[in-house]
Amino acid sequence: MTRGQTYNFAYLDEQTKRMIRRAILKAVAIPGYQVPFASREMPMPYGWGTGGVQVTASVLGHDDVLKVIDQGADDTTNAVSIRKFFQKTAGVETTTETANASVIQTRHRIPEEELRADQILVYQVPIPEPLRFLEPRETETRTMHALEEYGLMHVKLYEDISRHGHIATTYAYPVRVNARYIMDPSPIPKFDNPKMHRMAALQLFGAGREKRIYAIPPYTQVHSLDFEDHPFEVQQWDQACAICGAEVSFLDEIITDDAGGRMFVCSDTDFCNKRSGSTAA
Amino acid sequence: MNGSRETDSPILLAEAVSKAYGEQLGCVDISFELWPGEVLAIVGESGSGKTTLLNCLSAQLMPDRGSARYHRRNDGLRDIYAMSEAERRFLMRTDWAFVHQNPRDGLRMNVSAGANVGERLMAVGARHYGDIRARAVDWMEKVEVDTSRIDHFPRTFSGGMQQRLQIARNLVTGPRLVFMDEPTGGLDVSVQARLLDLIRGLVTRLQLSVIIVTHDLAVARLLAHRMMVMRDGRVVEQGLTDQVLDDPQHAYTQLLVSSVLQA
Amino acid sequence: MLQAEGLAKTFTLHLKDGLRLPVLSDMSFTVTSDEAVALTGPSGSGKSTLMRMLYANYRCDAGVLNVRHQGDWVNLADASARMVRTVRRETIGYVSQFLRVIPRVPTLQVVAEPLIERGAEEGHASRRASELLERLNIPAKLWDLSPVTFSGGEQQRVNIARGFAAPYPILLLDEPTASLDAENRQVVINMICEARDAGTAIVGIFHDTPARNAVCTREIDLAEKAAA
Repeated sequence: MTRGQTYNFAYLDEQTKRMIRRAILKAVAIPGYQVPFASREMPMPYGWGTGGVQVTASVLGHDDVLKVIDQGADDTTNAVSIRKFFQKTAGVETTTETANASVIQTRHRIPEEELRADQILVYQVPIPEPLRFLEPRETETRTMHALEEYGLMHVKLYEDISRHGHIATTYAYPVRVNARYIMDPSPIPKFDNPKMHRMAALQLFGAGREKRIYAIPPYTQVHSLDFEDHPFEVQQWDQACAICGAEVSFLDEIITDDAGGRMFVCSDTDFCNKRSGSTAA
Repeated sequence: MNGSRETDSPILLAEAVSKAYGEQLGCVDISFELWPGEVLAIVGESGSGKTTLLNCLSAQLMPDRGSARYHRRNDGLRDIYAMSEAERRFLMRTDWAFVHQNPRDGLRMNVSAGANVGERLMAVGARHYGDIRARAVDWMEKVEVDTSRIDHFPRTFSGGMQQRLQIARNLVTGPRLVFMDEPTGGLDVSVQARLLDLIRGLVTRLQLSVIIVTHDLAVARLLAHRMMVMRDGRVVEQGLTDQVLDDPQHAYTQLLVSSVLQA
Repeated sequence: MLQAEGLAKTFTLHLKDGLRLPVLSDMSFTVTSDEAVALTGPSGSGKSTLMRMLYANYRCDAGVLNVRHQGDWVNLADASARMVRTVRRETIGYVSQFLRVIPRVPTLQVVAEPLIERGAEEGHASRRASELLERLNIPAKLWDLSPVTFSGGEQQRVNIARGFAAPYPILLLDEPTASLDAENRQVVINMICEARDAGTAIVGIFHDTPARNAVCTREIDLAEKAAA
């Protein structure tokens, strides 16, 4: 496929990409720290991943192979649109296979398959500030980050336990990066949190509306916050995937009819396809 | 209890603290010593500069001139205005406490009573839910708030309960110096009496040093060992509370004292 | 225990165009331990004012007021607020005419407080407080109540119990037996004599002549002083 004549490579102009790369470098240098950047208008609405798209556009090269997932699936509207966007503006090769991709842009999931050092995972982030819901003042939250005043984050978890008997936060579960900054991992299920810890791939986070970029460099310590007597735990299912039989993956519940019929299947479609393909073969 | 009483250094030493808002004077040349276990009342009418002074002393406001040296546990007297913001904020959540007139300014209304009390513990590293909750219960008992309401939001509490909860939230980490801004303002008289009694008991039992701003001479009489009378940003008279109230020297103090309604 | 030299007091009423009311001038006297001194003189002669000056409740305009405090002499006329507090906690007790009632605080605690402020253990302090209240015939069922609603005589006895709770070397008594019935007056007189015999220096105002005669070893007549 050839790229459209009217667009610069990957849509953004070179100056903008340079500016974003500088922000990314700073983010990598200070793991978990939210770096402000001059987020651009993108030809898609906020909430569609404008932050992730700008980051992807800035790290993408001609030889890269791009995979885009939304809720783990390659075939949802959001994923398809972004994939098409880069096919058109950058002309790069795209794939649905995790192992074949060099850049993976994601919303709400981390692929089940372990990522490698030669891969980059780009997250779309709606609200980058983990302290926001308890302290609405940005001036105050920035000071709290600067001075490592993180008591408030545990207040949120405390409230969970006092109300539900356990930590009921199941997605966007706050983490501490490199024993320093507290970070919102974007709305991924907490099931995926352990995958961030010492991941071989570079993880980049882009928030378009909020104009923030942050990063976790490869092999960085990522600790999910918890209490000594209420340690961090991931979700578990009684079922295996109804399609591929996997017992270790994150499952989506799918309603199959109006009579209450339901099934549980892998949310990571590529992982599921590969497994069912190989079992079928 | 006795050991800490006779230290030979003040806990706070203010020298010539001054703050102006443009042309308007906030407070001028305020100097005093506060010793461990002492309660100092700053009284005066609204606009006298007492709140400005309190905000300067608690480093919420930077004065234009002057110094306020605080006796830290480890390294002696240190000018709080020369400290880094990080050090000051650390003090504010460990050694110091600030009780606001309006509980809305001192409580998080959208988190439970227990979390309000537990926040300072978590801020200094407590990470055991059971322990934090047990200490919250203990403090709610101390300030006479029904412990069965530990998971309720403070906005469902009465004004007096909110104020007592604010005090618990502030004292849970064992501060040494407590700033109070009209803590009984806006409360019914009966509720006020109960709160005053509670504060009085805690101050004696915990040997707290307190700087309390009030316009109510009865509050000063009940709580404070010493008082300073402020007018137009200046201290016009200071001394032992009973001395100032029973034998006022300055014309303005005499006016204040003679203006109190006798019930 | 107490040395006054040239004490003077004038009230300036700023609200009355700075009207000056001289009350005392050039007061000098000494009180030693195991002495009980009565201040006498007609009303208006400055007895209560002098008592309050001895407790540093009123300031001295001139003179020296030396008090024997923990082996040293402290001049209360120019001592720091902090020193005055220490002297009041350890050395000088004061029984005023009226109990300044603190809302909601139970009687037993009101009485025990001076001991607790000295660092006494709470159990010991409340035992001592109970003994005193019992001796002064305050019914035990009232001990848990605030003295706010007590009768004048009961409040006065609570006040005396509080004043006697801690063993002060110097005790100031302002009309301690006023508003008491005969039986309780005798109890209070006994208590004062016991304190005096145990070496406490006592300065008091007693309008009640029999009580004054029973207690005091000497009188200082303020009217005479003023005349002289």
